[in-house]
This record gives sequence, structure tokens and C-alpha cells, in this order.
Amino acid sequence: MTLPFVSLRGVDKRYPGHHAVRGIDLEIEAGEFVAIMGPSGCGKSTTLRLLAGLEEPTGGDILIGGENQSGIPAHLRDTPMVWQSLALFPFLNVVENVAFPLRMKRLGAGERRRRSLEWLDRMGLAGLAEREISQLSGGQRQRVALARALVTEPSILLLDEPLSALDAHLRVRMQTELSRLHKQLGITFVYVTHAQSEAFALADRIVIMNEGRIRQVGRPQDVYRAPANPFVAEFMGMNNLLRGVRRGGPAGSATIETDLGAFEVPSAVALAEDAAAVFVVAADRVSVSTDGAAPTAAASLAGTVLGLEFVGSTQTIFVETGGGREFRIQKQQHEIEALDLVPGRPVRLSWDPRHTWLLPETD
Amino acid sequence: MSALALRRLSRTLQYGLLAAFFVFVATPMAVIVVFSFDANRFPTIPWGGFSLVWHRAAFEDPMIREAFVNSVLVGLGTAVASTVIGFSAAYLDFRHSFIGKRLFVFTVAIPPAVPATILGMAMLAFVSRIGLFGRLETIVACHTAVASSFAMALIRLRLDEFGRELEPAAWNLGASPAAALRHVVLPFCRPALIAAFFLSAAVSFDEFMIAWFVGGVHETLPVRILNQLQGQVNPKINAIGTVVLTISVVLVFLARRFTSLRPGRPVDGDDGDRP
Repeated sequence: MTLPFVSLRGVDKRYPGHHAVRGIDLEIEAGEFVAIMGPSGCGKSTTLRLLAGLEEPTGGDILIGGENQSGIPAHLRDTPMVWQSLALFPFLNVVENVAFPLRMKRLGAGERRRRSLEWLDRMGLAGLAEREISQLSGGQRQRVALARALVTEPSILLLDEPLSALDAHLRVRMQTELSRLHKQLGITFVYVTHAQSEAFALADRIVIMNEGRIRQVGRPQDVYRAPANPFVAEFMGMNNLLRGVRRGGPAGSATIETDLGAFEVPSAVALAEDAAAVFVVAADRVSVSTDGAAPTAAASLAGTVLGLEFVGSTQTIFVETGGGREFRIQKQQHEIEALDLVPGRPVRLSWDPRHTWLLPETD
Repeated sequence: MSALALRRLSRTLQYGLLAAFFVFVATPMAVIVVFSFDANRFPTIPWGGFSLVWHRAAFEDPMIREAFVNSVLVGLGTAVASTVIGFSAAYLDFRHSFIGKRLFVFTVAIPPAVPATILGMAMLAFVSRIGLFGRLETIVACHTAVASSFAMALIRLRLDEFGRELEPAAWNLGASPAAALRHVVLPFCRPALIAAFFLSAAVSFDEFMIAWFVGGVHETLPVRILNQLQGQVNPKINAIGTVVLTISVVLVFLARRFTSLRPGRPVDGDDGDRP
């Protein structure tokens, strides 16, 4: 087995009155595209800044390429970063911005210009070399920032919410571009974002953080379909969580007794009798009917429609299921057109127990 | 009264204020300039005809020449020292937080608010105690104490427009902290640095009270003018006044030109590193 390219071992970062990163362990393979996600303040950006050496950890070790980075100042690490604000130098023009890292490496003027122009060309910015930064569009600035970070041909690129300043259309185009760059260069990308769509579209692996801790690491589809704990399940969105206790059940499954009734859940995790349990019913796996009859061989619940929300062709239906609890169901517009769902209407929700997921951790 | 009439009245008053400004502030200066070119011994109307005789006389007076050289030296010294100190103070305030920072910023800002007479007396008491009375360097030091306040204010304003991430970005791209200061912070501040330089020079060039208190035998131009006035009234004074006025106006104009620059490239465009 090869050594991981980046290793974080028990990395900890405390500020006065704020514990930003709480002893995280993470290994990243060379050439991997890893996205770190989480709500704001979860420590994802701090983790990136620790990798870049812009912050010193208060505990633990960071290894890059097998070398312990502790005590190495930012300017001696080859860990360029693309900033959320882009941080382009306004007093330098496009080619001077791109050439900046080469100038810091004391390369000759001719060599600097040649390599910078090559990268500008590669990013589709040929002909804009002598422009001022203020004369560029948002997408062009983004490319200048990327060219400037990549001009030294580093073996790792750090990206801190680089697309958040762009409009939706441009964001999708830049995603494609980033994906292409990652494949061409074959270097490690560590990408911090709060946008699920970006992480899912780009990353080989995603890391979900909350309150300074890593809550789950895995391939996007695995994290999406098999969240490890209630935090991740809720962070992924469009999941309904039901809490209860285990009360027996046939082999390979568990019966979870909740205040809405008892439900069969396939059980991949060993769970003691009477132990607290949380399971997930994905919003797009729930069927809605208005005839009141419960389908056989399915788990079901009665409720009242609270309201509807349109997101493009998808509708989210909010249903009250007793005890003031809210259930979310996601359906295509055409699937529910005939049901005439209006607030106050009684409905029956049902799902196939095989599509529910018992969380290994209950928080 | 209708709103329209009120607006008219307001406009009339504004024009009146502007006219008063010219009568009381600009006219005396204009009078000095006009009579410095008058051939007559005494400033009277009618004008005695155009003449450079008083300018020549002033130029040939060795004391005035020495005072002029002193003023230029003190002005340059003050400009350099104030710009350096002003930048250091502004950068310290921008980048770092430390105990007593508010007090520090307040202390830097205070000298222009103290009456010049009191400041001059206090400085005199201080410099004579430490044995530095009557030296040109002492005038520079005392002028710097006042002018660096203005320099800091100007440069600090510019730093407000400096993105907080630009410096860490430079480190991240391989610049040592010193290189980031030289290649990122200083180029960004350049317009403000130039403006601070000219403004400090102007402050020093015009300053009378402190120079008079601490200068001893070394007279700057404003001090020479007053000493000349106490002796005899001579149109040479008008000539000196004209020169001082011209230099001050030019310095302030230059300072203005650099402060009104929008963020962007430095005016001369090239920091010598262009391929």
C-alpha cells in the first residue's frame, strides 16, 4: 500500500475562546479530489488554512508528501490556494498576477513571462495578458486566480469556496473546467465548499465536518445513501429522521418503536435490545396517497398536508404526522398533479422498508 | 416663504460665503504676489510697473538664501521621516492587534490638535534639556512629530481598501513576509505614500512656531520672514512670500493629485519588474 500524500493526525486548532478544529484525522491519496463540506463555522476553512501553513495547529501533525509540515512557514510550502475572494493583486495586471509566484521564486523575467503566458493560454485567457484585473469579468478573474495558483506546477491545489462569487450558470461551467483541470494535471485537489452540488459533481471523496470534527468520510453517493449519523443525514437534506428504541425484529432487520408506531428497518449494524435508534426515510422514497387505504407490505403513516414548495419541476410537500412533526416528501410535479394536494388535506404516506436506513451512530 | 425662494436665498448665501472667502483669504495672498512684482518701494496704488528687483534682492540676501536652503532640507527630511513613520504606524494599526492599540493610535493623532505655541514651547523645553537645541535635525524631528499624524491618516485610509486576504495570499504564493510587504503592501499603498510625502513637506514648509522655538540660529523661511518684518518693512518680504506660497500650493496640489487617485495601478505603472 502506498503512503497517503496528505495526512492529518489528531490535528487541533484552538483560538482564544473558540475551538475551531478538534483533533481530526484524515488521509488523502495523491491525485485525489477531496471536498470538505459542512455548515459555516464547522472548521473546514481552518483545516484548509492549516494545510497551507497560514495557521499553525495547536496540536497534532500535518504531513504532506511524507514530510512533517510543523514549523514550515506558508511561503516555503508549495500549497497554493484559490481564495473565495480570489485575492488577485489589483495593482498588477493579468500576466503580472500570474507571474507573481515565479517572481517570488526569483526566476528570470523571460522565463516568468513565458510560463505565465503559457498558463493564460491554457486557461483560455490568451490576449488578455496586459489587461487590468478591474477590466475582467468574474469568470475571467476566476481563471486568472487558477492560473496564478497553478503556474508553479504544484502537486496539491487548495480551493476555498472558489465558485461562491459566481452566478449559477458560470458556476456550472467552472465546475466542468475544474474537473477537466484535475484530470489533466493529476494533482491532489482539496476543495472546501458548503454547496452539495459542487462537492457531488467534483469530488472523489467528501469529508463532512461539524463543530470542528469530521462526521463522515466517503464517496459522495455512499455518504448520500448511507449517512453515518443524524447530523450527516440532516446535512444532506431531504431526509426524514425517525427516532425510537429497538424492540427485537427478525434476522437482518430491526423493529424500531417510535411515538408514531413501530417500523421494520433493515439492520446492518448490531444494535442491542432497547437501545436508542435513529433511521432515515429519504424524501424521494415516500409515496403519497389520498384514498386513505394503506398499501400492503409497506410502512405507512397518516398525516395532514401543511404546504408545498416548488423547486423547478420538483415539489416538496410538507406533511404533519402527529406530535407537530414535519415530514418532507419530494416528488416530480407530474406524479402528484392528480392528487390535488392543498394544505389541510389528509394524506397517507408509505414507503418500502427496504429503502430505509438505520443510522450506525445516534449522536 | 416658498421653497423656491428659500432655495434662492440659500444659493445667494453660499455664493456670499465663497466671495467672503476670496476677499479675506485669497485677496491678501494675491496682494502679496502682485506687489512683489511692483517697482515701487512701498505697496501703493497706482502700481509702479513690473519689476523683478525685489525678487533679485531677496535672492541675493545671504540670510534669505540660507533660510530657503534650510526650509528645503527640513521639508525633505520631514517628508521622508513622516512617510516612513506614518506608514509604519498605519501598517501596525492595520495588521496587528495589541494591548494599548487605541492609546497608540490616539497618541499618533494628537499633535496637530495641540496649539502650535504650546507644542513649540514643550518641544523647546525638551530638546534643550537633552542638548539638541538649535539644530536642523531637531527641527526635522519636531516637524515629523506633527506631520506623521497626517501621513498616518492618509496611509491608513488607503489600507482600509486593502483586502485582508492579499497579504496571506502573497505568503501562500511563496512570498516571505518581507517580500509580501515590499511587493504587495507597498505597491498598493504607493499613491498614499506619495501623497503623504508631499503633504508632510507642505506642513513643514509652512510651519513657523515650532521652527522658531527649536531652531535657534537656523532659520527656516517662515522664521526669516517674521524676523525681517520686525526689522524693516521691505518689499523683499513680498518676494519671499510669493515663493513660499507657490511652493506650498504646488506641494498641496501634488498631494491632492495622489490622494484622489482611485485604487488601481500606481501612476508610473512599472515597479521595475516588468519582463
